[in-house]
Amino acid sequence: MNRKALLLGIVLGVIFLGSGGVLLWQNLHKPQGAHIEIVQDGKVLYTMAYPTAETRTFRIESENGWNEITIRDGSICISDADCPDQTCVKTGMLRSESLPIVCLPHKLVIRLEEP
Amino acid sequence: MRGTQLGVLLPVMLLLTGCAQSASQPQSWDFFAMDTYMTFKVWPQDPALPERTRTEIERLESLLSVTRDGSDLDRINHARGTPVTVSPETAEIIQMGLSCGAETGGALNIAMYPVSKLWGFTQDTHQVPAPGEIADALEHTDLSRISVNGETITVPDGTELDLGALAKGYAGDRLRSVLQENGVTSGILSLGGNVEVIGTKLDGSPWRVGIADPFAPSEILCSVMTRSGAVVTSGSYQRYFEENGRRYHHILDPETGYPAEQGLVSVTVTGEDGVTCDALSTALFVMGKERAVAEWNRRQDFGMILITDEPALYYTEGLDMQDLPAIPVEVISHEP
Repeated sequence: MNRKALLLGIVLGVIFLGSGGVLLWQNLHKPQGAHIEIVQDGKVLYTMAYPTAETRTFRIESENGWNEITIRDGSICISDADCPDQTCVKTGMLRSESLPIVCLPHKLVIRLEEP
Repeated sequence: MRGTQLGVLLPVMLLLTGCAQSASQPQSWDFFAMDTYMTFKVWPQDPALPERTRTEIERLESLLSVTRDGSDLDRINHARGTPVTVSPETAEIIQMGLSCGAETGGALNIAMYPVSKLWGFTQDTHQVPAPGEIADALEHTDLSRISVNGETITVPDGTELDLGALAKGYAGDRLRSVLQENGVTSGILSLGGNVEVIGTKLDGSPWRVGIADPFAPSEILCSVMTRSGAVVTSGSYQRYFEENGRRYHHILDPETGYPAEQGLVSVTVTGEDGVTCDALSTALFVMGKERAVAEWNRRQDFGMILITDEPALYYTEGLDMQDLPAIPVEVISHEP
């Protein structure tokens, strides 16, 4: 009986500590301040702090086409794309939570999340 | 006994670890629909809301889309002059579009599809049409020849309707109703350039709605505070193309068939319902500042923020404007 109680205690303890660990891990890996999210068709592809210290250019491909992303001067923009309307390129650098950069034909969104 | 305790404790603990959004926080989601990117932030949370809003928007899109086979609009546009029975919603929006068209002296025209197709704005195949083509297409845009009899719509052969100037506003109103019917008491919805709010923010303060800078569209030029209703912006910076060094935007003047050039680059309308704000923002853009001010004085049931190409900013008295820009700013007051 006592062994059963001990076993139950250990199981509960492991679950409890494990739960705490999951919460801690989630909190450590979630950007605390303002951050940029690159999202394609509802799936978050990249997350980075805002303003970002990175400088780089890369492409995001989808079945509908590609967008060239440029990160510089603390922010991010779509510098080139093969979409027909080019609205995403014309938008310019990401500056505001309420004005995400959107490429409708490629279902790509670059948005600023503020706490 | 202990098995029961564990059985109760386990789900509770898993629930604790799995709960990513605290219940005291608003719930956010987004999706693409009606050729735009829609975002939602509401309170209180309800896991069923994202699906409910998406289902409603898909229902409306299947009625109102001009490019989708079998939609009410598609059936009207291919009826070759014969009467078409449509959903009550489609009939209601067409009636609203015709009324707004009549009130604004034709500045809003829901029969411009033959012309906008020539410019390629709905198909993303942009080109400047030949003047003769535009003149021919304008022959089919006479609003007085469109008949609405209950839910039966008749348009002459060659006339094609496009509800693009009202559909997002109508959808925003419907979504706001769906959310409120499901218990939402605080929220903000953004459907492209259309923003609708429910109640105040959780702390009781009004919502701050940013107005995009038409000269730098990723930046906020100024903000307007609002506690209810809609804030809708139509701007020449939202959709355009360039050919031979000239810029052609998507808001066509029903008089000329060419992009409206009345000195405005952005028109924001605030009011109770999104569909009226949506229709008016397009109509006032086409009318230009002077006629827009006259219309505001006549109706007195909406607020308005105009940005001209000078650049200068004009807003109607009564609006709670914040973060005003460094460009010249003038308040429009009611005529005595």
